Amino acid sequence: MKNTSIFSRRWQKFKTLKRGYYSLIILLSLYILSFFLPLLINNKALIVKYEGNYYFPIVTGFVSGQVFGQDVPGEARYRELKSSFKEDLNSSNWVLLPPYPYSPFEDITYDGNKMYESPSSLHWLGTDNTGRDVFARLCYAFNISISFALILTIINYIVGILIGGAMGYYGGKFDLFFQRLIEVWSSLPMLFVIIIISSILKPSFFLLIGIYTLVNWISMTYLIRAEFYREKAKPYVAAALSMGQSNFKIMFKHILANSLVPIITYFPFSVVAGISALVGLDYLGFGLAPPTPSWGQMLDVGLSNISKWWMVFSPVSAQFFTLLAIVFIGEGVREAFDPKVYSRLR
Amino acid sequence: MVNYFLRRILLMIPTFLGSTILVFTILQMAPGGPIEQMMLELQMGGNVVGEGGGGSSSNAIGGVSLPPKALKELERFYGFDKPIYQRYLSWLGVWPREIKHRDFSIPKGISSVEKRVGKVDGAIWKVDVSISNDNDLIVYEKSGEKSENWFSKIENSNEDGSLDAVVFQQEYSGILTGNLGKSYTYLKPVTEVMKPRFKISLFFGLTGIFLSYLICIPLGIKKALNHGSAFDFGSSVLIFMAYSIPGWALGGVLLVLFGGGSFFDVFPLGGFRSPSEIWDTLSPIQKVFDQIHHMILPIIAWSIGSFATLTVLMKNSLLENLSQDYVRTAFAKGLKENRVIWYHAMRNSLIPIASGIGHLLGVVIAGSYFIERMFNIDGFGRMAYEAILSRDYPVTLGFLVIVVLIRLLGNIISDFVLAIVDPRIRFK
Amino acid sequence: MKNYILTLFLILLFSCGGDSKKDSNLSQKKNNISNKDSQTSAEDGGYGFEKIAKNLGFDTYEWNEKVDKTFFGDPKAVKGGKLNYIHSLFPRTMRVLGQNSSQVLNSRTIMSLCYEGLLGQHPATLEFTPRLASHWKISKDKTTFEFRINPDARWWDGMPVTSDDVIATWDLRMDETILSPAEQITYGKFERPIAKSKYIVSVKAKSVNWRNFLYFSTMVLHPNHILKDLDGTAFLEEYAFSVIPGTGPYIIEDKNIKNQESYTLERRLDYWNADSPFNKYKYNFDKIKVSVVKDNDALQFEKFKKGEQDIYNVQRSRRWVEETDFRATKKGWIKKQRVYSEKPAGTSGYYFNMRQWPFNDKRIRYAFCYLYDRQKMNKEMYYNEYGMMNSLYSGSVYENKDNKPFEYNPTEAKKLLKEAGYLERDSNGWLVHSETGKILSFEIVIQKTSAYMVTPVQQMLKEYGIDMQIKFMDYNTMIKNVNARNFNVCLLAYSGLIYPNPEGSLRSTLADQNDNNNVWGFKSDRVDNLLDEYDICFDQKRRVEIIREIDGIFSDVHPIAFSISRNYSRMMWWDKFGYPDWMFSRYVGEYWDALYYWWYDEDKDSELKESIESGKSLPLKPIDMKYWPNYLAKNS
Repeated sequence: MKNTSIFSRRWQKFKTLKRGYYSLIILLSLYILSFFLPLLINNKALIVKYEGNYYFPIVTGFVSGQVFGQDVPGEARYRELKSSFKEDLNSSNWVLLPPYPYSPFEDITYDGNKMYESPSSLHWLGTDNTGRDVFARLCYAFNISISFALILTIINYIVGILIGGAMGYYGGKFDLFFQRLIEVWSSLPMLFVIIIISSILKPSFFLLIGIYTLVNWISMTYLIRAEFYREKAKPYVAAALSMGQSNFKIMFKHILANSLVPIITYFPFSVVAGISALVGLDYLGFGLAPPTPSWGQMLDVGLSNISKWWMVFSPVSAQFFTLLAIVFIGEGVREAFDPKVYSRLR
Repeated sequence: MVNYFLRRILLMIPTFLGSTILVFTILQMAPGGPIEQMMLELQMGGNVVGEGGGGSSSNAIGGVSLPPKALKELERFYGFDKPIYQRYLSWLGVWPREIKHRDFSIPKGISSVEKRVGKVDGAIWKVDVSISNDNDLIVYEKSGEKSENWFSKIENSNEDGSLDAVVFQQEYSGILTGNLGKSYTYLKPVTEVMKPRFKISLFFGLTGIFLSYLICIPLGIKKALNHGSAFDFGSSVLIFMAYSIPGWALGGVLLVLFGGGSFFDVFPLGGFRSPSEIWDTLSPIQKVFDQIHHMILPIIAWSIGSFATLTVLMKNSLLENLSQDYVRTAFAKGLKENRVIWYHAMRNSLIPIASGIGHLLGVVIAGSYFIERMFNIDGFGRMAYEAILSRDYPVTLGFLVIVVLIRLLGNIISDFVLAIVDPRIRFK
Repeated sequence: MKNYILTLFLILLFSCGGDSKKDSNLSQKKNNISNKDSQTSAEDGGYGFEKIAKNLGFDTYEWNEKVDKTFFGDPKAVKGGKLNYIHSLFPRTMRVLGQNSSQVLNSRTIMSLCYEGLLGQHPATLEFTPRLASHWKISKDKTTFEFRINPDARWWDGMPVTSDDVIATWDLRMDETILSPAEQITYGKFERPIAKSKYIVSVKAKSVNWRNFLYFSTMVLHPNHILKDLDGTAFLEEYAFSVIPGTGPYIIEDKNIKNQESYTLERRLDYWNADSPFNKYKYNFDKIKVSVVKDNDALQFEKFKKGEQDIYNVQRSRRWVEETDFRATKKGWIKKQRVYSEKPAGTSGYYFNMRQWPFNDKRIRYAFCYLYDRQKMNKEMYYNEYGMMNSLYSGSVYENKDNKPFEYNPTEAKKLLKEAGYLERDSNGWLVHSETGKILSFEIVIQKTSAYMVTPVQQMLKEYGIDMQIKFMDYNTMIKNVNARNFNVCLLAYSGLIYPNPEGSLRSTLADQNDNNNVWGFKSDRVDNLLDEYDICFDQKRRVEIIREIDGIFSDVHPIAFSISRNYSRMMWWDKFGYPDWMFSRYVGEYWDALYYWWYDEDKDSELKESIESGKSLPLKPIDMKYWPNYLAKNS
């Protein structure tokens, strides 16, 4: 009961912090929206009415072009279908395309796609080195990047708080042992692990998260350990102890609440670090398998062809806006969640 | 306190052993080691995947596989003929390391064989190997004395009664004696390979850290004091813009813009400093200028990413302290604002930043592969990355030893700094 | 003090103009080579041997002013100047043999410029020409070769070249402790050479093979008087980053080796063979500086544009088409040309693993090739810069012109896929086998850098329901997998040889073994027979026929989807050099020929400098330089 009221108080406080609040709304809605990208940015039609029959390619999947009388080898080309229906004024056939009718995968293989087209009304951010639409890839990569970073950060936090908290709180042998373990662990050459694993398995989204967690939980653990160490020395812990509170309660109710500030301040950076990690891995070629859209891969192409400015501009600004939004949210959350009031007295 | 840190230092030993064992084992698992590379060389004689295919025209042979004798020689050279624990122990320096080998065979019924083993003092060095009664081989110098350097053992006895033997030198030489082995790619002792590169990365890293602290701390303070103002917002946008551009990407753009190849000729096109034939002719003052001239772009690229983290850390930390009770008390006591902020609050808000130094040190040493590649600087990070890709185990291990040591020390330093600046923390 | 400053000033003043003054920037001392050997008789290879050579059965190549003067450099060439070149790697060692030495950079610079073999090859006809040896003799059974070393030949240190040097070099190459098994495989085909006299050396090959003479006669020599005190290990260590004396026209002094940074070759003033017609107009630069920019082509290109490097070879068509039209090229200060030649194009494309499903089925391989629309990729992505490869020996005389050129043909592909049992497509659009229910799906392993070449192919195949999964690996891991035959299809490019050697990649017995070049698992009895014949065939015409037949059989089996080929090199250079009419030699055709045949042209350089100062344009050159194609058309 009390908890909810604290939470709602904080939420009310957060709402008053416009910058963070709006950033959260925008980012969250974009992120949720990005799960529906196949409906919004795709070259597959949503609905086709052809010769009296309705087709839902987006749901049913592959529909051969021959079904619609198209002379194409594989899947129907819905953009062309639409324009051909338009020419034929008499027919009752129609196509409903997604608002942005390009897929992140279609390249020069599709007739009409050209590489390195500069931004236009058709391709809002131009096309890349194999003729793929940059805007479409950017959006799909947004979803992947955020998901990657969020999952990674959350796992890191859970591990970090559990282990780091226990280390800081209990100290002694427990602390000592885990410190050694962490130190040994952190000397693992990351790139080697990835090379070895990728020679056996195909790098997938969750495999990468797994590998990254193996290495990344350490920094979080250190941060939280230091916080717990410091907080433990404070009188309220002693007070709680003397009142007979359980260790678990002290750790997660009192200390954690009081160490929230640095932990939450760190959160946006951790998310951002996750995004950057994926960008770096993709840039090096140890990330997600192609043709998965990714900012790192786009940046790589852009940097080796700097004259194609949109290839550099797009991933960098996407990263920038995402990051800025996350940081504003982080600031807002920090102010709202802080039990202390941030006001400067004079 | 002294006890605590003494103990911490002693505790580095198990950690060090643990991590080196871990890494040593993992290295052996990575596919494509030096022998496999050698096989490949035999097979292909160089092939490059490019758009238009390869196109060299030499008389190189190709398509042959490694003969067993050569394979044995290679395995012996790289020490792969020994079990992994022995290799690890001799890498540590507590197990004898065989350093030179000469194969020879002993015909049946002959008890002493002369073998040329190399050169000593400019002359050819020969030894006599004789078989003792219990089939041990003893090596004698030409002077008749038992050799102190050379040992011999039987490897294989053939059907015709002759023996294949090897004469070798061994020594206790490893990481504990300061010998990190010899690089496979550079063909030089690892320490020699690492030293200049380490210096370069350290130089860069420290300059970068110094400059970022110099900028970020005042900026963070200013942002905290003007929290919520237009300045705060504007500078946030700026530093995050900087943060979201990867440093190496920015470096690449800067090089094209200001390197003089395409647009403005303001800075040199990469390199740590001028090529040595120019560098050697410069006066000390010119050297300083030359160095700075070369370092401006890489330092910008290097430190641009750390601006955001440090500044925000500083800002938040100061903000937090400003709302603490003791600041309230100080104000209530009627202290001047400047004194409260600059003396009381500042001291505490520097704690998290100060404690980060230890970790940062580790990061610095590891160097930045991306930036070093972009600017063609032969630094520590690039060395390690290349060593990993070319499976140069001694360099990879050497790099890790340094990084692990520095990280361990860094952690201790962090805690030490924390203990000094924050009187509330007690290490027992 | 005043005097001191004055001297310094003068030194500075003079050293500024140093580049243009002939020989003035070379610091080395001249060795005295006047001590001619008068002891050795003509019969033993001493002076006068050339008169009796014919009677002794020795052969040589006579300089033919009319035919040859065009191909061994240009009479307009002058000595002097400096060439700056940037490479992407520093040599892993300065040795040209032994551990880690098999790098292209070593062979193009150090090996070709500091050392010599017994014989050279005519750049246009590939006939053998005298080098360290002036005469040679091949026994009737084609296994024993004799060479007569030129008594004038000298090492850097002034010592004469003798038969012992050949033997010592062979010994060194056969020493396992130099950790270079390739040497032992190549030279293990011979018995130990024998010194017949001071200048005549003979060697016997263990088997009959026309290639043996080529291998032995082009083996570069090292001096016996140094090797005799070294064993393999000591050689590896002492000469890792210090250059063992050679006989060649250039020298690399230790002080000019800046490890991982640069090394400078200096032209020797006392090169023993400088006045020979074969060398007279070659080796013109006083200094050749090779600097290193690791793994960063963009920076290398910037350095070229800034003038820190003199020549630049453009690898990617995009750069060539889109990024080479900057001010300096438009003004003609930097020249750019596509230089055509007859260099072997090599073999590149998608190598199928015929040992396992799905590419054990010829129909699937053919279908892949029909669907792989390389023309479209060439048009859409490579600016039509390339030709199509249809042979293992594309563009050379060995190419079988009857090979079926695979072009985009979906009808045929669909027919084949149907025949192979892939009739239906599932809801994701993938082809499903009618009996097994298996999706036609396989994996391709590539390096990140080739992703842009592969993803369009992936889309092309997807269109027809074939699922090609891309997996990135680093180079070592990728090759390891290929060598363990643990792959479906991979993208490889093998460089071509002037004399094809299909043994390693097509021999049936190698198909079931790992770690060799029979990547695809090719087996054919007919090809095996032809290979046997090829090795002992000394008739070049017949050899061409054999290889053509092999190429035809190979093309029918089609274990590879050939990609694109290029028979020119894209060259850019600052317009301050002179060069022969043909620019690069017929069979090398690449930029490193500039090191041997080009020269620094003082007048051009000053004109260039003037033009840059005043913004004046220099005449432009046509993009295509087709000396060799025209030559071929004229002479065949």
